[in-house]
Amino acid sequence: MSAPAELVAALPQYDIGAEIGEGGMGVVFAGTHRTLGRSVAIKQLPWDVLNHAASSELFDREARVLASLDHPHIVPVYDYVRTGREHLLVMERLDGGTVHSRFHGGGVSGEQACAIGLAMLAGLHAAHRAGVLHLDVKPRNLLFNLQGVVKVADFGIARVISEGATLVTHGGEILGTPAYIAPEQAMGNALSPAADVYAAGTVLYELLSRQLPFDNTRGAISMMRQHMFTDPRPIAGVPMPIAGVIMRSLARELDARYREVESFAADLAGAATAVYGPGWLERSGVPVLHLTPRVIAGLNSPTAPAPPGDARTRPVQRPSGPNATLVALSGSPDTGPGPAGGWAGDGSGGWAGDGSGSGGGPDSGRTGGGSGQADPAAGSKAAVLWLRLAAAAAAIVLVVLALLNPERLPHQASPTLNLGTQPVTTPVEVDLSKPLTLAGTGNPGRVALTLSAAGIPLGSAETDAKAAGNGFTAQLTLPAIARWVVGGAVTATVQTGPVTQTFTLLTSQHPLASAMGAGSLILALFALAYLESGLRTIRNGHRWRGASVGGPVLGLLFGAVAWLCVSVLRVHEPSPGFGAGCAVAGAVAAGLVVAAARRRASTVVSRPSGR
Amino acid sequence: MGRVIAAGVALGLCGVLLGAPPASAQSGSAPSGSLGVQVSIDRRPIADATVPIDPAQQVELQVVATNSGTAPVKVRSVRLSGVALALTFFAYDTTAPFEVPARGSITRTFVLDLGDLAGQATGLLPSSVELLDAQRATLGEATTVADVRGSFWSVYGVFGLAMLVLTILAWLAALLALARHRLAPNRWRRGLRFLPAGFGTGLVAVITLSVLRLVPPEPAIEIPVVLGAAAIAFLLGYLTPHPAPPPVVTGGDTTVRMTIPPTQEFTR
Repeated sequence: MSAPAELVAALPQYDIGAEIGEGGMGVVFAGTHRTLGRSVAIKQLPWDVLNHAASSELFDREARVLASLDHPHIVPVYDYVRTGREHLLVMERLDGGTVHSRFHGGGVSGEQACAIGLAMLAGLHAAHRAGVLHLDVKPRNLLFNLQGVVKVADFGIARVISEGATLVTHGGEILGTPAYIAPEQAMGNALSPAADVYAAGTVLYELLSRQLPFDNTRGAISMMRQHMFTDPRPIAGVPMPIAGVIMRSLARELDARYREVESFAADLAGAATAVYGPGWLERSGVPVLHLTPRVIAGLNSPTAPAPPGDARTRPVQRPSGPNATLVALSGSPDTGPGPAGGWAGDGSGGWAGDGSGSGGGPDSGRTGGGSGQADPAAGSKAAVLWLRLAAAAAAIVLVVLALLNPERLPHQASPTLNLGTQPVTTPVEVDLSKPLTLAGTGNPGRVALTLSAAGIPLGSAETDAKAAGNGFTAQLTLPAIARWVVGGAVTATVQTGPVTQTFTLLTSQHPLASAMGAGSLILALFALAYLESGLRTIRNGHRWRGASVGGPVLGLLFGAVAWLCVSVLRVHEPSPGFGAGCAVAGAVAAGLVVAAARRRASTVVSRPSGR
Repeated sequence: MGRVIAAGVALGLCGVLLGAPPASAQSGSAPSGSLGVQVSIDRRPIADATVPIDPAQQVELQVVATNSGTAPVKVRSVRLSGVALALTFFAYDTTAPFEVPARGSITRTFVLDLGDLAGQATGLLPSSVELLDAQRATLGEATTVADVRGSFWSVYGVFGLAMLVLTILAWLAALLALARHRLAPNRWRRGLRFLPAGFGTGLVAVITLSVLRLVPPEPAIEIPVVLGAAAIAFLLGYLTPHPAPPPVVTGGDTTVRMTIPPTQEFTR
């Protein structure tokens, strides 16, 4: 998508490129300064929420603050242009990807997650000291430059777009990202740095445990309500000192949560040192700059986190001295991987989060903490795979059973009993639109004919037998609807007095031209469509109420009618045993498919569905 | 809009029902009117039989009219017609005045040229031979199933094929909509979405299958078959699940603007 003409006119000194991003905070275009040749990202803020005079003034003021932020972990703002209704921020363009893309691309080790966390908290701390809240901290807003340095983007924009202190828009809506939003932000209450603490803690929770602290399958509203009213589920597979820090940052009550990010960072640094050992930050390969003395102290003295309400949680302070600088890597990116081999140094890849690194790699570092961290995502994937394989096996059983249905069932009939001119000891083909003539020996008085498939009655006729020589004849007229219902091969039962005889009856019309043929086909397709509808509901992140019952019932229906359709089309006499087997196999297959879908949906917690 | 569609469908069904021939028509000789009629086509009795009719050849129609009354009955013309679902797909009249005496019977033979029947009908079609008086009232009637060897592209053939194609499309559309959550949130409207497919299925069962010579039609049950199929399809549609809302795309990390969720938990 090319840049709009207003944007080009507003920034004549820039060569505007293609759109590189879009979100709730506006549209981002690539650009290049014509004179300096500097690559920039130009954010066009959503004018529909900035068309209030108060908002525009607030944004003008906020933009000046944003431009004044000078920290290595904050994306620098180069320029701010306001022309007419356009509000444009010109920022550094970071081409190293986002934490989101790295996390979902190759994964992030525990050490790398903690290092990213420290860099993120360092940037947030600097912003808070300048009086700017972020209020939309999330992996997508944490960008890497080509040197692999993490920088926090979109500072204060959410706050500018909102009414200020409560982050509520003029339309009465709240702004934020449901997966990471703080409870007080979701409720539209007054905000403080603790809101950013909460979001940062959620990011770390996700990076370390590979899942969000709340169920992400029920939609955005549900997610926000969980943030507001539910305690996060305990973080799984993360060593205790770190887990305690993360869970404290996610406390719903402000009194129980870190009130500012420096305390959070100091405790995180100490906990990470306790788990991963001294030098973990260097081994992570993630550059972390401008750490405060307090965080450095935590880094050098492994300690368990203090309990909630500890005196170390202090309000935001103004700058009180030079910040210490810590460069994690001993060399520049050009020097290649560090001693641990964890970072390739090109800023765009080379993460060793997949555990393929050397012995000193990230995973070994995590397990070295003594926790033996499990991989829930991989385990869940394996479970989904097994469920699908089992479902496929059940489906194969269904097909095999349907094909194995015998051509004819065993019957006992007198060789003297004739239907028309044919003896019923062999299958008899008849035209159901015409009366059927039965002939046999003796005089049974009353003759009844019943057609059935797998024990299910399809039609019957009854008449008085007429004497004919030494035997009888009986003309039976089946209900007119029988010609539309009966197809293929069915079981005919003749009642002559006290004697009951059965034989196979074939219809002369095409098997598909009957309710047994076409009807079963339509019902099978209906059951499949219904099942797919339910599975799509699950895949789209919603709940399918009654899935545990509805899925198998639909499978039962599909198995039964699929068996019937196959039997009718192959002109095989439906056998109830095989029908029951197919129904059970269908129910099992559908139940397993539903279980796999639910399992998969419950693990895909942080990716938009996109389906 | 949904109510309008439903009303239209209901009116259409009522029209078909009210326009249908009486369900008492019987195969073979039928005492409809004051004359008993027995008919042979090409010297083959039509009672309880499927009568082949080749439009390329002349048809010899032999009618035996029996008058059981006490007064003579004057017959003005003989009509051969094919009717399905109250729709007449072909009709041939021959004017041949004759009188059937009281308590007597008359046999008449007519030769019909059905050359253009090939373009009007094909397949198995419920047919009747009627004796008409001067006011074109039916004096007697014999019904049968004619196996018309007409063109596949005759009016009846094209109608049957069109019904088959439209019905398949209707089922595919309805089932795909079900699978893809494209059905209406209202349960009755979902039923109406499936209704055309069921209605078409009934028409296919009656017309297309007779065009394809697969199932001979049965005038007494044509309407119930159509209505039954439509009712079953409506029921299936009625039982379909409520379509789910669009995929959850904001549960991840997309910044959104949304209303504040209700906070009734605080007041419980």
